[in-house]
Amino acid sequence: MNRLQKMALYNLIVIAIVLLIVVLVVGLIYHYQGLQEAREAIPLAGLFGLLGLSGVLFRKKRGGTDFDERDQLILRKSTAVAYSVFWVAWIAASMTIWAVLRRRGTVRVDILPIMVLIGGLIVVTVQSVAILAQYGWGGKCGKQ
Amino acid sequence: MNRKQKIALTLVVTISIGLILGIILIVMRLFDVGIPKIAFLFPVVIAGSGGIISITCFKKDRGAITFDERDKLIEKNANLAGFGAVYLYVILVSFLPIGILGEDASIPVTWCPVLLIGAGFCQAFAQSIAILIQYGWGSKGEKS
Repeated sequence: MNRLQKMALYNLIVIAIVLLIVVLVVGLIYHYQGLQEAREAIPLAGLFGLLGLSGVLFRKKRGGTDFDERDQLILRKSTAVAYSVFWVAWIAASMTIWAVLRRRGTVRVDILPIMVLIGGLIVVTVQSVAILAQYGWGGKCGKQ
Repeated sequence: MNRKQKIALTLVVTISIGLILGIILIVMRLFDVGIPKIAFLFPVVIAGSGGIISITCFKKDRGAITFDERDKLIEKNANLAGFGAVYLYVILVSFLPIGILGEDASIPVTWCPVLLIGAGFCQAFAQSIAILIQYGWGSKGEKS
């Protein structure tokens, strides 16, 4: 596996584990104490910040070339796919909110940053999946 | 200038004019000049006219090859620049209401679709700027 693949795999693992933790904790608190207390566990989503460590954990190697035109093309394609999916998701979310809450007329301001957080997760997830898919899910084509 | 550059330039000009007009209208409304809400459609129409002008005035050339690998690469980079700009725009418009109105405030639900229109213009503007920058703002051998 090359650096790009390792970073993609790391991102997917972190997203899966943090999602699991957040859903479990919020679900358990909601079950035993109710919605108000469960909402206070949502800041646990800050654990997604661990995604930022991928650049530190998988540093570029000094010397030898470990990133050529093919890797650049894969990264570029993955980013384009990720942002395209983000666009679709954001349009769908905006129109759904408008359709559902149209009669009420207003929406709380804190829903917008939640949309950004989910959008960011979608970008990272789709980009990582696209990177791994283009390399063939294993180490066969992305050897260092 | 090739076709892509002409379209990009048209979009940059029309969206810039629309943006300036929009800002003027917002400032005038803040000072209670008495501007009807419908007037806000005017900058949107002007900004959107760039797309109509592009479709009607700059048609594809027949015959000769007018689109090579370099143009393809420029287009891909421009798309990514557009996506990046939209992502920044989404972050900005999501956190701005909290900063201005406070955490417990509400915004009209119609803002959600309106933000999408803004995102569309943001994408077109950033993409056009990126195309013009990559071609060098002028005509350096790119003929239509």
